[in-house]
Amino acid sequence: MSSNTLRRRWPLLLPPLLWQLAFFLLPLLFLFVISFWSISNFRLQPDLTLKNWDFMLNRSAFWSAYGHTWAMALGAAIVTTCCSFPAACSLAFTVPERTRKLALMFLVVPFFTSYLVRVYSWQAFLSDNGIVNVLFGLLGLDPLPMLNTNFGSLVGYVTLSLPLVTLVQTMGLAQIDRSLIEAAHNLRAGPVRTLFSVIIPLGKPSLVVGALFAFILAFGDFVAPTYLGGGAPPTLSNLIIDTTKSGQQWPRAAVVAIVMILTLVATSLVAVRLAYGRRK
Amino acid sequence: MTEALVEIDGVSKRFGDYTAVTETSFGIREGEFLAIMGSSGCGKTTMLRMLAGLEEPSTGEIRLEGRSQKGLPPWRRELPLVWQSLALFPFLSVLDNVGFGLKMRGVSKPERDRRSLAWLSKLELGEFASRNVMQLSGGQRQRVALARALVTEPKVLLLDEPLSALDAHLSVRMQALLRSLQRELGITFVYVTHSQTEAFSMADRVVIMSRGKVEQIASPQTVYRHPANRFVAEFIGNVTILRGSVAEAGDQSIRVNTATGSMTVSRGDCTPSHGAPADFYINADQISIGGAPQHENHVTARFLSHKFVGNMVTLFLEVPGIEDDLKVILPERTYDCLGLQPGDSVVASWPAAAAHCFGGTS
Repeated sequence: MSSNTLRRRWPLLLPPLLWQLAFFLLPLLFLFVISFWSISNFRLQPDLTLKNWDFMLNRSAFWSAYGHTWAMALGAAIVTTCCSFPAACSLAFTVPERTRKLALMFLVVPFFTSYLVRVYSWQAFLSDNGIVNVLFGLLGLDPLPMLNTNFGSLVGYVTLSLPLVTLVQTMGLAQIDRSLIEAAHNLRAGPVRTLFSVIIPLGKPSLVVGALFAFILAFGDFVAPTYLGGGAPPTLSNLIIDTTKSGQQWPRAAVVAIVMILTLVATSLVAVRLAYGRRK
Repeated sequence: MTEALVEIDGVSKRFGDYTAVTETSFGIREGEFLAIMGSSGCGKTTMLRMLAGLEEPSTGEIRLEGRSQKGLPPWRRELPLVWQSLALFPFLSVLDNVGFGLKMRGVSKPERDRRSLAWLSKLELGEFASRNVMQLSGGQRQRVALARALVTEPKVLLLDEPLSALDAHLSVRMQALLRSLQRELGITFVYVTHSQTEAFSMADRVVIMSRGKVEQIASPQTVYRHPANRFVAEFIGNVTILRGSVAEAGDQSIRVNTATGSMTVSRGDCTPSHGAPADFYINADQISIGGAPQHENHVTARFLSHKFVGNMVTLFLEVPGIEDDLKVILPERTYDCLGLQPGDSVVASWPAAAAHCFGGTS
């Protein structure tokens, strides 16, 4: 858009700008400000102290939660990406366009039910006397602890982001110029080599953006680690809840939240660079 | 005729209810430049895609050096294709684009770089080897696509309207390049185009297709002088078609009665019978215009308009009793000397050798 049209059409930008200002920037600013406040008699007191930052950043419990959250989110991003890629490939390349549109519509259906309900229902599958372990018992296998483990959390994270990631990947892959795939075949690349040498490089933006969504959703989620992961070891979201519930430590929770936001901003920048950059 | 390098044997292709190619058979000779020409939707691109294995014929088969290609997936075939869209890989450098086919054949990195570079230098692209293809101009990308298809030294190269995106000037230069490359390498080129200029300037033989069928296969000269039927004549567009009935059939020529009088037409291959309907065409560039008739066939016509195409001028004449305008092609200088004004009455005349019979059909 040239600067001239921008000058004439700036009123159109007002609603989103105001929205962002009122519901994103101002609360963020407030979050930043209260991280310097103090608590006395379980009440927030305006202040300008660094002791919340000092307290959180010098606790090894914080950093181990940070590392755990990061690893879990990365794991969720990788597992979700790998789980949805085959489905996205077949939706993008093998089915007729009508079927694809229908499938994309059905991918939205999981969002009709509450995420919390979906996570709870996993308990029926994963608990020690749940459906999976009963089946294991019938096969003569020992029960496998799945509920309240990292595996349980991961199941929750994938439940949360799989439909979205599949959607993003399918839409990205469907846009690949078919003649490039045909050109690869024509130059003697079979299906597997075409996948690795043409489809994955061309689908990279949607793969990375999909994985980034999975990472962001898992990084901030507290439902899966609480109800399927058992809250131990705690993730940063567990830590925020603990901090606010026990002792009304809103300023300390604000510190955790700001660290999380900064981490996600940095991760997103790296991911976007990975997705779209590096073209000579 | 020697055994064809590629044989297309009774090939049809249907997409649902739509038949793109109907029962087509012809051979492609080793080392020839074959142009498949027709308007859009005539089945020429489908034919090319079947050769590349990107579509499987519904019936019939295609043989390469006598080996049936039936059921062979595209990645096992040896017929590289140059796409209309070029289909260069945007995430690879120029060098890696060219080397892609070699990589898929398991050629080592140094070897494929060496061979790719040799082709790039040959096509005057050596200095761009490390660039991204997106940074090149249209003509340069064209040559990268050509290098990518030729680097594996195939026996047959398929080209799908590769020049249609270029401007006229660049297209002419690419035509010369393609022609000289084909001569030098001795590779068979199968070139699909809707452009008569491209087909005629490069091809040894031209296949004219219409609605999924082959209308004529011949040298450009033959197609131009002796169109096989009404469709080809109208497609090439340098003739006027007249309708009549056979009055008298001789060995060399036949007399045809038309709405505007009796005319002598060379007999050609057709076998006329007395009284049978006979369509014939008159080559536009063999008609003379002048005050007195200069040849055995002549009509008096009214000059309607003209179209100036460089050194030649196409005149459109109205002849009483015939539906289409009579087309006459004259050198620009000749036309200038006549000093015609629209509405002027002129005498157009032509020898029997300028008119040919289609054989009473169509």
